[in-house]
Amino acid sequence: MRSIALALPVMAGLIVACQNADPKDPEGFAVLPEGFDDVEIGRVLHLSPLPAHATDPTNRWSDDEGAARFGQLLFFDERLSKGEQHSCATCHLPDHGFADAHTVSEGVARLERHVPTLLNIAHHRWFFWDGRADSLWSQACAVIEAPLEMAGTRLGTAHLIASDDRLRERYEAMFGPLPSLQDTERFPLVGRPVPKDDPAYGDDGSHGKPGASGQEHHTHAAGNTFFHPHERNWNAMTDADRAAVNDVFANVGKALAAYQHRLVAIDSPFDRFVRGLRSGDAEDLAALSPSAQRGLHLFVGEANCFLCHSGPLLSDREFHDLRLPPGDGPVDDLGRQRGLEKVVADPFNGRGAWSDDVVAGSEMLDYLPQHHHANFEFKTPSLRNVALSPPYMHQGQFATLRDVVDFYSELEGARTSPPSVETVVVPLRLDEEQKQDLVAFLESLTGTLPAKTWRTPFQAESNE
Amino acid sequence: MARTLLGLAVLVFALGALVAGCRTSDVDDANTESWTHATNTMFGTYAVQWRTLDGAPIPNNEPFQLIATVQRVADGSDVLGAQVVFQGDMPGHGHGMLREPRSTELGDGLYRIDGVLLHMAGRWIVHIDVIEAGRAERSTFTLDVD
Ligand code: HEC
Ligand code: HEC
Repeated sequence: MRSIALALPVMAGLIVACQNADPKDPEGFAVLPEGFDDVEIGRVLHLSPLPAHATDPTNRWSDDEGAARFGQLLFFDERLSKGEQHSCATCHLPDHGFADAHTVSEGVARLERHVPTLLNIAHHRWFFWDGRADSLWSQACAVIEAPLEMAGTRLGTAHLIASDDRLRERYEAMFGPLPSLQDTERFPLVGRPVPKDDPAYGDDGSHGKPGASGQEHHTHAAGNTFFHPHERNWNAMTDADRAAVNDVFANVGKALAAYQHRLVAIDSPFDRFVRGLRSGDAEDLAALSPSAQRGLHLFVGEANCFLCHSGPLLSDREFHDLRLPPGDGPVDDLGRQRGLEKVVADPFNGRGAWSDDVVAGSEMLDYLPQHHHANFEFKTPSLRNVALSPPYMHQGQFATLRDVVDFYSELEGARTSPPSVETVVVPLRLDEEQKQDLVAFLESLTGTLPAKTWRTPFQAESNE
Repeated sequence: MARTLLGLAVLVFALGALVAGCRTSDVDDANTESWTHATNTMFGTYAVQWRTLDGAPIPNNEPFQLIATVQRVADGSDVLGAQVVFQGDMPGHGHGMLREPRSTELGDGLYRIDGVLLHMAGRWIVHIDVIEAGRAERSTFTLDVD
């Protein structure tokens, strides 16, 4: 019995060793900046550093350099879209923090939401403002086929790769041989499933979105069901052929995801400051101006920003309702409510047939509530690099960071009905100096951009 | 002597599991004595005790598992075959959890609860409801997540 008693502390020690180093361990603090108490310093330490790497067990290519370079080729390739005018980079501009300057974005048609940044994107848990994708690769698959964004199809994508030697070689070197797609009776040039809630479904360009389904010719099938021509092509294929095309499409998504795993921008002045807090290095501590330090103090203190913009991504990676005033998108955008329904139904989700780790992929999906109760919730954006990508919020409601801070201060124009369950969102009534301080802090979150070879279209000669 | 040897064997196994896994997922690895939370349900029928499965502090915004034991207060007997439901709210924020955890009965009055996520720092009021024969009785715990 004594041996057990002796061994218990050893076990406890091991358990402790297994956890990540506790960022609140006060050891090594040389400096408590003015005004901060211990609790607030603990909160600050939770916000940095952000690891450069994030892994996605559902995508075994996520760390693969070759897959990332292949994904980079695709990212800048306009041929993925209908009309061949939109690549990912058309909306996710490398020089605008991988976002764009529109309030709501313009793709093949006008979109309903603002373009989010892709910097540090791999650290998120859910993707899109409503979290309707649970991985970067399923997100990429969704956007290629989204009628308002790229309006491409999985069959079209497979044919594109098969017909372009550069793409084909790289694809086959990693993922193995493509199915032989020459027989276009068997593998039509375009085609995809068109679910009922797809803006292209039906023949009326549902929701009155011009150009969504546009001029496509629809067939009227039995009863009142319309088949989009893309869906007709898709439905005519054998199960095995459809599965083969889905394999290619999932691989394309995984390569695009591997590329986005490289879009890391960390080491901001704020990160240097936190390093200084841990080491006492005066130069690091000086990385944050006194005004930005006061802004940080508000952020982890009375302004309560840290509650949602938490962890080293400065996002809790979940969803909240800020009661934002209407912007240029639809007023009835319910956000997470719909995203939740979609993510569990997505065949490319983490527990689906194309996931490389259904156990890990199920971890989040399995415990999602069956009935979400709150509307108008959107994903908390990361605040890292936020200064690079105005305007802000899911409909680009605010042009500048100052406008955002003004909103949190006054809640001017905030929706009053239906009410929000989010009781922490209250007018902060900041004074002029406090507002400037918060903006100075937000501006200190801009990190070092990824190397130019990752920010520009892939050039095999100079990039490799 | 035999007992000491057996004890040592168990320990070596347990240590091995800890070092290898860093994340125990089985009740065999769990030291079931070290409950960190204990209370009785509201009408005093059940004693509910629990702790995180890996023994770590409750994490902020990371999913975790917990293990609970449920006994009848009247005679100390283990409660078998009950439904055990975990639920949490943040009264200060007006909302609850973004996940619906599920429980699995392990026998001997033990229940493992998976999929718990307390996604924000602050005060949580969490409930473990014990449901037997259609009758639910609630236990309540106050947690501070930071
Ligand atoms: C027409 C403009 C447009 C194009 C083209 C486009 N996107 Fe986007 N992207 C958006 C918009 C708008 C959103 C937000 C949509 C939403 O949340 O409903 C978005 C969201 C995303 C997100 C989720 C970000 C987050 O924080 O959740 C990722 C990742 C992404 N896009 C990657 C891509 C990739 C990869 C491509 C190319 C295959 C691409 N996008 C093409 C406009 C575009
Ligand atoms: C209740 C949770 C919550 C709190 C508290 C909170 N935020 Fe936010 N923040 C969000 C969400 C959610 C969004 C996106 C909302 C949307 O578009 O619908 C957001 C958006 C933002 C944006 C725009 C980012 C972008 O890329 O569009 C900034 C900047 C921001 N918050 C800063 C702050 C600051 C500063 C504070 C403290 C004064 C704060 N937030 C407090 C949840 C929160």
